[in-house]
This record gives sequence, structure tokens and C-alpha cells, in this order.
Amino acid sequence: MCLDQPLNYTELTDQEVIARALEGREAAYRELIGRYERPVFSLIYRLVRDRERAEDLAQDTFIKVLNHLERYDPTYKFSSWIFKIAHNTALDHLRRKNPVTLSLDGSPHARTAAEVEATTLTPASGDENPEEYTASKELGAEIERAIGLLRPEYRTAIVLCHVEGRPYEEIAQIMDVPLGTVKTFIHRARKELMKELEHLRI
Amino acid sequence: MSHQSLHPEEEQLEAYAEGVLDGGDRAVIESHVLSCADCQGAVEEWRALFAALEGLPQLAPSVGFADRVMARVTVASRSQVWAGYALAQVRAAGRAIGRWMPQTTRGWAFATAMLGLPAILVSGFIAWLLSRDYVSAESLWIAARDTVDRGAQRLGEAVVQSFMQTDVVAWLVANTGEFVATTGMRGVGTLMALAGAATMLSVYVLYRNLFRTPTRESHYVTYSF
Repeated sequence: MCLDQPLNYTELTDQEVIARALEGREAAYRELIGRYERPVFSLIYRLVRDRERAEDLAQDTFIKVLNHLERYDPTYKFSSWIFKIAHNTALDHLRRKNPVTLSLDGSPHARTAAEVEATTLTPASGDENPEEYTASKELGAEIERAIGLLRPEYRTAIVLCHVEGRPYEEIAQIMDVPLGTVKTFIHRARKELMKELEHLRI
Repeated sequence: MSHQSLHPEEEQLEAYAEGVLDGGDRAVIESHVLSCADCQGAVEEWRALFAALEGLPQLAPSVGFADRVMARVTVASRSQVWAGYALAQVRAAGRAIGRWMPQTTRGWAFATAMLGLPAILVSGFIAWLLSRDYVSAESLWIAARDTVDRGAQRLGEAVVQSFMQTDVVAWLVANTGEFVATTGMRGVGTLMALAGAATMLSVYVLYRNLFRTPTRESHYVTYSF
């Protein structure tokens, strides 16, 4: 077995690339990073809204995944696994950063304005924010701002659904919640975004 | 009945705008939307939101991200590759075994009873034999060993012969009597043991169907990180 034999990884499925990585091929590891660095970083960034922190958490995610590739169960999509770890890594960070704000994590259906307020994270202040990374600055910045006002679970669900184009079933696997809960998250997130963006008449 | 009361639910309009309604529901909603300016407006609002969200870009980490990750990743060496392969096989075997394990307390109790009962009966029988004056432990061991040896030998011969026969029934008729005649009660005992094992297997399959916890409709991935 020649470990340095050149391969065109772009034509391989995730599972095939992982099999090569488990054979000790560094290029396969780099292929996985190339495939998922943007989706993973985007998700984490929109959750924590701090570029430096998002880079650290994205690195942590990849290190956890790539150092434990043998634990990957090929029954499931690799994307589900890595998004799940990214989501959990970002949520753990948010809980450590602001445990009071996220104390209602287990109760996703806030019924009162006070509960919604208590479970809402406000965007981080400072120069670094997702608005800088949007191509269409005005609309993009408004949408990023509105997403930043959502609860973290809603943000994950909306980003995975609309930016990453993941089906509801996969989002349920990633977030480890029932399918109905995902639909509720997405519906409520959309309603909140509509309300927040009403002044733009998008 | 006012026209307002006929408006679809908000979630239905949202699903219609998203394109996730099936044929029947879609046709019903569509026929209403085409004739209702309010609902047309609502659908357009949903679609505009979806388009705006789908226009958001994927964000990129800074240059050198892959290098920084790889600096902290251990690429498996040849020996680790083989160790990992062996570990994966062990895990796969563990998962395979796990699928046959009882899933409920009642299931474990039943399985334990089914496995323990024959052991108790056999142990009791051996104890009874050893209590006889004319049976020693050594003679019992020799008899058991010979029984197993001869039974296995006869069984092996019979299996080989079965491949030589074209008429299985004729072979069974011709050889069963001979097998019993030549091996005596020991051979019959071996056959009975095999039949008992088959019965146990049947009971276990029945138990799995009676006591195993049904698979959940939605199975969620769990990871041990």
C-alpha cells in the first residue's frame, strides 16, 4: 500500500475519503477540511458572532472529528456528524460564556415575552460581526443582525435549513431533537425574522 | 361564511411557499392563493424571506486554517491503521452482538431463565449420576468425552455422506436407522442435544419478537464526545 499515491479526492464520497484517511493519508484529512471548513465555520460564526472565537471553535471541531475518525458510524452522513459536533461545541461555548441567558435551553418553546427575552442572545459588540462577511451589505447585514437576535437553536436550524440546504430530517439528527421540534424552531425563527425585517419589506 | 374564514393557516401558506406540500394539499392551497390577494401577498413575503436567507454567503475561516488544524491532528501510522481496523472490527462485532441482546428487564429475566434452566437440569442429572455407587467422576468424564467424540465423528461422516447423496430423504431413511444402531443411545443423545439447541434458538427468536423494545420511528445519532 503506497500512502503517497496521488488520488483525485474531489471525485470521492465523504465515506471514501474517510476510508483513505483511516489508511493514514494526510491528503484525505485535508480534503475533509476543504469540504467542510466553510459550512462549519459559517454555522459556528453565526452562533457565536465573534470571528476569533469562531475560528477557535471551528478548529476544535475539526480536531475532535479528525482525531476520532474511527468513531464515525458510516450509517449516517458525515455532514450530520461534523455539524452535530460543531453545533454542540458552539453551544457549550455559549453556555460557558452566558449560562444565565441559555438556562432555558431545555425549554425551546418560550411562551412569554420575558422568556423570549431571557433566551435571546444579543450580537457581540465590537468591530467583528457577520455583517462584514455578507456580499450584499445592506440587506445581508440586516438579515445577519436579525439572525443574531434569534435564540441559538433557532439560528442553527435556520442556517442549516436555508444557508446549507439541509433537509429537516438531517437537522433533527444534528440538533438531536425530534423532527417536529425542528419544524417548530424553523417556523418560529422565520416568524421572528419576518417581524424583525418588516421595515425592509423584503 | 366570510371569505376571511376560508384563508389557509399560516403554516400552510409557509409550506406552500417553501414547496414542501404534497400534491393534494398543494392543489387546494394553490387554488385559494390564486384567487386571494391577501394570501398571494403572504406567500410572496415568505418567498422573499427564503430567497434572502438563501442568498446569505458561506463564511470562510482565515488563510491557513487547514494547516492550523492539521498541526493538531494525528495522522494514523501504519501500525495505528491496523490497530484502528482491528478496533473497528471489534466495534462492529459489538454492535452485531448488541442487536441480539435483550432490551428490557423482562427480556433479560426471560433469557437468563431460558439459559439457566437447562444448566440446572444438566447439573442435577450429573449430581444424581455421581451419587450412584457404580459411577465415578472419572468414568463419567470418559463416557461424556467418548459420547461427544463419537457423536461428532458420526455427525461429520454423516454430513460428508449427505453431500454424496442426490436423494436427501432416501439418505435420511437409510442412514438414520444405521446411525442409531451403530452409535446406540449415545448417538441418539447427541442428536437430542442438537435438537435441544435448535429449540433453544427457536425460543430465543420468539423471545426477541415478544420482548424486544420496538425501534423508535425517529432514530437520532448519538456521539460519545
